[in-house]
Order: sequence, then structure tokens, then C-alpha cells
Amino acid sequence: MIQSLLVTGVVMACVLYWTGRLFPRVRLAGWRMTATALRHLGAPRHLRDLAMQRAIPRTGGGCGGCSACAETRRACPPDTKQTPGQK
Amino acid sequence: MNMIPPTRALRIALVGNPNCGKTALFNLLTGSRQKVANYAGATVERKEGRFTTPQGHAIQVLDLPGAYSLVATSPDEAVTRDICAGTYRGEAAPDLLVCVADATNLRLHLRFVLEMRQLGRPMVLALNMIDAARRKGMDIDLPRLAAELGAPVVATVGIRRNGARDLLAQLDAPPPPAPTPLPPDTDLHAIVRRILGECVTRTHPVSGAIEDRLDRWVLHPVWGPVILTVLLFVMFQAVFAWAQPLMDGIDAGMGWIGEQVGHLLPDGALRSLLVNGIIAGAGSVVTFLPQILILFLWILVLEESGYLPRAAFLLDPIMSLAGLSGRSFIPLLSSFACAVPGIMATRTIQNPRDRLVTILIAPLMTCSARLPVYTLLIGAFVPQRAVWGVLNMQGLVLFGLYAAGILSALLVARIARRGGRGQEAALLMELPAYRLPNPRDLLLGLTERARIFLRRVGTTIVSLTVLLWALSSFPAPPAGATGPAIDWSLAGRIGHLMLPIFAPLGFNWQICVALIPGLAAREVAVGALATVYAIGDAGADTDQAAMLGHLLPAHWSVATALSLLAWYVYAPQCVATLAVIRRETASWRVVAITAGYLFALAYVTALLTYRLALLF
Repeated sequence: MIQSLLVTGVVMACVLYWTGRLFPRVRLAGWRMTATALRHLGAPRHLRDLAMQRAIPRTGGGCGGCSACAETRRACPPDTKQTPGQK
Repeated sequence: MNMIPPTRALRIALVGNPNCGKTALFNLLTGSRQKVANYAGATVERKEGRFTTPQGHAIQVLDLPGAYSLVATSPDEAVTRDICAGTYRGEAAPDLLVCVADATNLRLHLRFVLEMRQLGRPMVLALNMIDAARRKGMDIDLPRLAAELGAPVVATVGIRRNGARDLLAQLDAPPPPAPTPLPPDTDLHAIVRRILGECVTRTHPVSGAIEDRLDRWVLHPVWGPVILTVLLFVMFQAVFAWAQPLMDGIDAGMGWIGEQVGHLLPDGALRSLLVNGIIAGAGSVVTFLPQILILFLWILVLEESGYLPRAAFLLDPIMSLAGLSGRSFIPLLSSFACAVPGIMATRTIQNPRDRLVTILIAPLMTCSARLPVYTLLIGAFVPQRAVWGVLNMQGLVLFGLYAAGILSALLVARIARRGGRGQEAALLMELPAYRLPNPRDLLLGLTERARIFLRRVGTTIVSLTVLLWALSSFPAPPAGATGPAIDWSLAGRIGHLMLPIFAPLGFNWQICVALIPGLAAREVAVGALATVYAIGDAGADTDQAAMLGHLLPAHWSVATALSLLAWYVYAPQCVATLAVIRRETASWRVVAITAGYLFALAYVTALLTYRLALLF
């Protein structure tokens, strides 16, 4: 029984990990729901903050050209993306 | 200059010509470990870090791509120009420009410093590699140079522990005023010549005899390519010959761990997950760490020594035949490590069409993630015998696979360019001074590479092997079912569904299953095969499960192994590569073309290889 529970836990963790990687919007929605649930449950503040931080989009779509990549957005601001031949 | 509020960190930007040591200085200041190399164009994107000066001032530092001029000719130079000028959307101008110049090559670098002066922003000149300049007999009058430039000048050595002491002291001092720009029509070259005449004296004549002598051989039209071929050849031989004892050690370690876990745990799902899933799957990938590190050691040594730009120069005529310039060489070479930084490095290519073609062919360069697949199959199917007394047969086959990727890339480039090269008619590239690789940098580079590899094993590969284990183990076969249990599992059914497509290539359903997680990372295919065979082979003990190389020859023909090798030379089985192509080209069409032509090439080549191999 314990073996089955442990195995289910590990497999579920991997499913969640890959769902988050493949579908970032689902992951963000999940963290938002977690944050809301933690707030309703009166969970410690740092846990709620942690969930809220993870609910912020980190799309990783930046070109590395400006501070957006180093900050939380990690995506190019409009009209700044580097494309071939841009001078 | 605007006053900086005391609560806000001072924003400084490291700018300068390529290969002047900006990133080395950035690493020294911030404690970061960004990639440094002895060639122009190692940094193609803006890096940001923070540090605190000895007197407690908070500094935010930007490491910008190198630029020869503010008249940008490539996307990476455009980033530098726009950030320095304060015209980059979404990015405030830096409070202070730290112009980094190679003290040994002031004639080239001072011109860019003067261009920066024309921006009319506060600046400091960091004369980097001052120790090398002194060794070359150059005595630079720093106060006089500062007076000429209208900006403070400090000496730095980016690779020494206290090499940024003077720069830090300057950052602790009140910010300098902006220098007065020169009149717009000033001849900057003439000013550079005058400044050099007044500020630089030679204590002894320059002796470049050794470098010249080396270059006479290395850049020789006949001996140069011979040296390059020998270097690459030895590299692939070393990957096999040197790594074997270490690989055997890791393999034995994994077998031992599997055995212990097998003995400790009772028979059940957890034991199967740990032994057949995680240890067999991830363990079989970890075994290839020594080979990957040896490959990277060679690449790092070539990067640090200053040989790579020379290789680019040598290969320019060959690249020209494919319609590309030698400038594509370094992005393509970076792709041997991983196609992602290689594709990003194409930002240094000025011609947009050359850049696009280089992006299209970069996935054909054999990345390090393919190495575990290659070496597993070569180790299992190619005999380890000497050829002509000194060469190793397995190393030769590996060399052949790399060569197949390179030749195919040139062919594809030729077709894509449909004719001669574009506007970038002549290769103009700075040849850096030869340097003995710094053992500390090599060690740091290897540590970083090992960390990246192990992190991938710990996240991507372990999680995928766990999922594959679950797919291969469930649902359990119905009561009274005959045949292996894995045939009833989800993975077994998926594999059998895919089989009609891949059977003409000689692939069995287990290979089909391994191709799916290989989309996330190529080396996962090895772990996936280990897991599928460990679960499928009910009689296999834990030690055998970890030794996939011994299992495969019993299940596959040589033709199948060769076909899979041919498949892996071409197939774009890495989603990250396709994602970075989308990012760099802002086009799904280019992604579709890349994926489409690579899959088609992989399928046709694997089919031909299999059919030909069956004839012998």
C-alpha cells in the first residue's frame, strides 16, 4: 500500500512537472488556484506569497536584448524583438 | 549627469569591441560564470548582474555584445548601440558607460571609445589585459590618456582575482561628468594615432615571432586544413579512448546501486520504479558524462587558445562553396555543444539570408545530447579494433557521423542559398592573440557543463523515465494473458501503433517508444530504451538492466542500429531547438520548414541505410 502511494506520488509529480513545462498557462492557472486556496485556508503568508510569485507569467520568450529577460516578464516588450536582419 | 537617487543602484554598462574581455570583467565583478572565449562574438545577448562595491554602493551591471562601431551591422551590435544611446524601447540608458578596451590593441579599440564619447554620456575607460600589454613592452600613460579622452581611465585584468580593484575604486568615487563630444566631422582615426603617439611608449620592441610562425602553419592553405582535420580527428578518438575507464566505473556504480536497491526493497511497484525506471533509465544516461566532458574540454581548449577564428578563416572557402561565409563557422561550431546557443550566436551574422540559412542548418551539427545515443550504438555494434595500427574503429565511425552532419549541412546550405554567397562577400574577422588556456577557466567551464548535464538528468530525464516507466508498466496484463507484460501496457500499444510508419526503417516498437521522449531531449532515448528493455526483459537482473549496451545486440540487427544512427544524424528531436528558431526568426514558417526538411531527411536516410545494410 505504502509502495503504491509513493509510486503514485512520484508519477503525479512528474505529470505535473511536464504539464507545467508543456502548458505554461495551465501551470499559472494552477498556481493562481493554489494561491487562492491558501488564502481561503488562512495559510502562512510566505506560502501564499510563494504561490503568488509562481503565478506570475515567465514565458521565457525574450531575445536577451533588454532588461525584460532579467526581470519577471522574460518576454520582449512590443516591437523590440530581434529578428534576422534587424539593424 | 543626472544625480542617482541614493536608493537606486548605479546602472553601468560594459561596452567595447568584441573579444576585449568584457564578459571576463563581468564575471569578475558579479561572481557570475558567463561563457568567455578567445574569439569575437562569444556574447550575443545582454547579460545583467548586480554587485556591491567595497564601500557598499549597489551596482547593476550590463554586459553588452561587442561592437566594432555604433553603426551596427548585425543584430547583436544593434542591441549595444541602442542601449548605449538610450533608444532601446523598454530599457533606460545606463548611468555610466564602462568602455572596455584591450590594452594590447589600442589602435583598434580606441576608435570605438571615441565613438562612445560622441554619445555625451558619463564614461570610464577600463584598459583591460594591462598585464599582457606590459609584457609586450607597452607603457601606457593613464593620466594623460584620461586627459585626452575627457574620462577617467583605469587598468584592469579581467582574469585576475583583484584585477578590477581600480575600477571598483572608480565606481566608489562620485560619478565623472560626461565628456565633451568631439566636433561631428572629426577624423577619429587621426585622433587615435595622435593619442597613441602621445600616451603609449614601447619599452622594448614588439615580438610576435612565435605567433607569426604558428600562423604560418595554422593558416597555411595546405597544412592548415590538415592540422584542423587532425585536431578534430584526435578529438573524436579521445572521446572514446579516454572516457572508457570512467564510463566503466560509472556503469559499475549504477549496477551496484541497482543491485543494492533490488535487495533492500521487496518486489513491487516501488522497486520496479527505482530499478527499472530511474536507475536503468537515468543511470544509463549519466554513464555518458565522461565522454561529454572530454568533448567539451577539447572545445574549451580550442576556444580559449584563439584557434577557432583561424579555423573559421580556413573554412571560409569551403563555406563559400555552400554559399555561406566563414562567419557562420562559429555559430555552427557552437551547435556541436547545443544547437540553442549556436542558433543564438547567428546574431553576429550581418547578412539576413546567411543568418537564416545558418539557423536552418545548425540542427544538423551533432550536439552533445546526441553523443550518448551515438556512443551507445557504436559501442554495442561496432567492434573495438585498431585500424592502421593507431586508429580506433569506433572513433572512426563517430568521426564519420559528425562528418555526415557537417557535409549534409553544407549541402542543405548550398540548396537553400541557390547560388553563390550573398552580400557578405568577404570574411572580415579579427584573429585574436594565441593564449594558453587558463586551467581555472577550463575547470570552471567543465564544472558548468557537468552541472548543466546533471541538472538535465535530475529534471528532464528522471521525470521522463518515470513517466515512461508508468506507461510501460500500466495497465497490467489481464489474467491468463501470455507474452511479455509490457505488450499490454500503454507504451507497448503506442509503440505498436507507430510501428507501421517506422518498420520500413528497421525500427521495432521499443525504438518507436524511445523516439517520443527523445523529443524533449535526445539523450532521453537512451534512458527510454533502458527502461523499456528492463521492464520488458523479465529475466534481466538489475546489473543487466544498467548495461544496455550488452542487451541491444541480442534484440537488434546491425542494419537497425545503423538505420537509427542515420536517423539521429538528421532528426530534429529537440523541442528547445525548434523553440529558439521560432524566437530568433519570429516565424512559425521557418520552424515548420526546419522540422519538415529534417524529418524528411532523417526518414529517407534511415530507410536507405537500412536497405543498403540488409544487402551486406
